Parts: sequence; structure tokens; C-alpha cells
Amino acid sequence: MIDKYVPSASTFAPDIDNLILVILGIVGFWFLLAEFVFFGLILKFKEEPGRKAQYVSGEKPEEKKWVSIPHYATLIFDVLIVVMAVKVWHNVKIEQPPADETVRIVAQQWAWTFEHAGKDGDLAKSDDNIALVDELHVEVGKTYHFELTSRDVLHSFSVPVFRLKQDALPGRVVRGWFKATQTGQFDIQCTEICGIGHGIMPARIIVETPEQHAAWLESAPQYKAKPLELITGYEEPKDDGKVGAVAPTGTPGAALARTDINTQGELAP
Amino acid sequence: MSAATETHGHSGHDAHAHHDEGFIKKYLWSTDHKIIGFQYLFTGILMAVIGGFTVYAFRMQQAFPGTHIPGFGRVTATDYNALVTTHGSVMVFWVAMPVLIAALGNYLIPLMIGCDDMVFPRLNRLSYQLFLLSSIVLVSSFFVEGGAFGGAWTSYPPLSAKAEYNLTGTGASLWLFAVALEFAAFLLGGINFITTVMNSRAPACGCSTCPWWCG
Repeated sequence: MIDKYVPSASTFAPDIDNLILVILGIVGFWFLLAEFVFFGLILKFKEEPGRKAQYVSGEKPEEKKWVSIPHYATLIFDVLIVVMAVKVWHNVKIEQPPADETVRIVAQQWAWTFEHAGKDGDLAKSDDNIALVDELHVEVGKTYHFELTSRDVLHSFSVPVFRLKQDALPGRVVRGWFKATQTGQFDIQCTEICGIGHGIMPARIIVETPEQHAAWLESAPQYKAKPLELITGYEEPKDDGKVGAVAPTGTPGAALARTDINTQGELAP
Repeated sequence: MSAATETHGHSGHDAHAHHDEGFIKKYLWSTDHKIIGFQYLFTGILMAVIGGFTVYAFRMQQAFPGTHIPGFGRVTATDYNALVTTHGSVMVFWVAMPVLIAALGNYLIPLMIGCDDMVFPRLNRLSYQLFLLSSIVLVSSFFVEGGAFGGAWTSYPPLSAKAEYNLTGTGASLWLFAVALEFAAFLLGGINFITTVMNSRAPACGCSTCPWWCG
């Protein structure tokens, strides 16, 4: 229903949209009802000659029900919302369907690097990996896992049409998944303030048909060496399970050297 | 209490009518809970104007990117982050907290529980003065090299912790200093509130009969 107005393109987008609609419906219904009762009572008991104000202590059952019924209704609907939300959270964030392919996403000030496994489908073997800056190519209908990390500060990987948003933490690898349901080009945007280039840290996700994706794989430049080292001096942080145990790698602000940021000439006042 | 009785005589609420104090002593250096409440209120309103101006500037930048914003000029990327950060910080720490907690609390708690003044009037004065100082420090951070802090009001490290990441090193230090001062001010105020409510209630004002807002 929402996707009539806001495009959606992933398998779990409808779940999240429906949850938002349900919450909107519940909250909206009770909001309208409460306002109706509120203004209705104001009009019904408005000041009139000879009418005296009444002190209501709320102890009689017919008075108390105005508080207790909404109170119990709130509790019941809260539980309903929590149950539905946990279900969606579980399906989106906890349970990951088996991956058809894995991509590595590295955020840095202020660019995204997307590393594909290449034709061998093996991300760990970097002989034919493909690394692109600010451009992520995926195939429609395939389940992708991503390994998300950051080289410097907190970033957040957000794909609005997928209803996907995941923080990237320096020194940690965060895993998640998505499965695109339609082809096209969509926005990726950093959604955690990450320094003066935060506003110019968008990227594109290009969802392709299998044929287009195969053609792209043929034409994309492949790196024989470990590609991210070539580009940025990046060392993959070791995910040893300890929180905050690994120091951020790389040189801070290295992306300042990127020409597309510099040519905009907007960073220095 | 001694400070309160010293300056206000037997009743804190209309003490000023009895003897003439200078403007500074009466309105700026006061230990009276209502005056301090007003000091918090008006400083909070002034900060709300500043916070409102920052949001005006960066929303105008979004509406008309890269153009001259009337009253501000051109919003650079550095300015933008500084404005967002200052807006968030100001609205939470320098508007919501002083107006909703400090101003209403100072003004109303003694009235609601039936006592002359807060139990630590001079601590109360110090609390406001620290708060004023913190506001000045925060606003002054706009005028240092690199501009005001640009790491969002949530101030997540490592962006906020390293100058080479946020590129506003001096601004970040001043922001932290301002927030620390502001927290010290509210700690003093909080000690004052709790002690006043616990120790200076009118006899009929018990745990369950005390106004809910004070309890």
C-alpha cells in the first residue's frame, strides 16, 4: 500500500511497510477517538449560566472507566505492536536466508567501496574481485549477504527502497542481507553524520536482470591484487568477536583526495 | 536557608517589596527561587532563539542549496554540520532542560510544597551562573578556528573524539566543555530540588499528599 507512494524493491520492504501501517492505524484510530471525546466533552459541558464546576475524584466506576478502559486498551495494543515488531525484526535482522552471493561494503569518509566476488563467486579469493566506488551492482531475485565495515568513523548504510538501514562500525564487521525484487537504479545514502562530507556521501545501487549482470561482470575491471589495498591502503579488520578490540585501519580523511569531492570545491569556506 | 533569610526576611515570596536592592543584586545576582526560575526561563528562551536560527539556516540550505541564506550567508559543509550539531545540543540541553526542569522547578517547587525558598539558595545561584557560562561557551564556539563542533549532538566517537575526523578540534573541545558545565549546573540544581522536596515540605505535605509533580 505504501509502495504506491514510496517505491519499494526488496523482499522484506512490505513487512516493514505493513508494520508501519498497522501502527499508524492503531495510533490514528485512538488519537481521533480521544480527540473526538475530548472536544465532545468540552462542548457538552461548556460554561452555561447556573452550571457549577464539579470536582471529580475519579473513584466511582462510571468515572474511572474513562481512564481504565483506555489504559487496558493501550497495554493490549502495545503487546500486539511489540509482537508484530519482533517478528519483523527477526525476519529482517536475525534470521538470514542462505546467501547466493556476498558483497563487502566498506564505508569511509566520504565514500562507499563495494567489493564483489567476481565470476568465481568467492569473496575471500581476491583474484578476480571487483571493487567499485559508490556503485553497487546486484542481480534481481538473488539473496545477497553483505559484510559491512568502516575505515574511520561510524557511517550508516541506507537503501531507502529496500527499507534497509545498518550502521557501519570501524573495527567490526556487521553482516546483513537483502534480496531485490525489481530492477532499476536506486539511492544509497550515508545516514549517520560522519564529518563534513556526510551530505555528499551518496551512492547508487543498480539492480540488474541476470543477463545485464552477467554482461556487467564481463566488462567490469577486475583486480589481481587485493583491490581495496590498491585503492585505499585498506586492511581488512579481523572480526575476533570482541567489541571495540580492533583499532580502525587506514588513514583518516584519505578520501579527501578523491577528485569528485575536491572538484566540487564546496568543502572549504 | 540562612542565605535566604539573610536577604529575604521572613517570606521569600514578597521579600523584595520590603527593602530596595540594586537591579544587579535583585535580578542578576539573586538567590530568590522565583528570580532564578525566571533567569533560567529567559536564558532558555534566548537559547531557543539561537537554536531556532540555526535550524532556519540549515533548512534554508536544504530548500535552496548553495545560495545566500538571508541573515547567515552561504552555508558550507562545515557550517552545515556545526548548525545541525548546535541545533540539537541547544534544543535539548539549553532549552528543554532549563525551561522544563530548572525554570518550572525553581519557580514552583517551593510554592507547591509550602516553603520559603530552595534549601540551598546560593547553590541555586551558582547553578544558574554555571548554566549561563555554559551557554556563552557554546555560542562562542562558533567563532573559533574551524567553527563550532560538527559531530552531531549525539557526539559518537570516533568522529567526535578525533580532530582529524571531525575537522573541528577546537569546536569539539568547547562543545564538550559547555556540556560538562551545563551538566554540573543541573547536578547542583538537582541536588537542590531533591533536598528541598525531602526536607522542606510543609507538615501536611506527606509522601502521598504532596503534589505529584514534586513527588
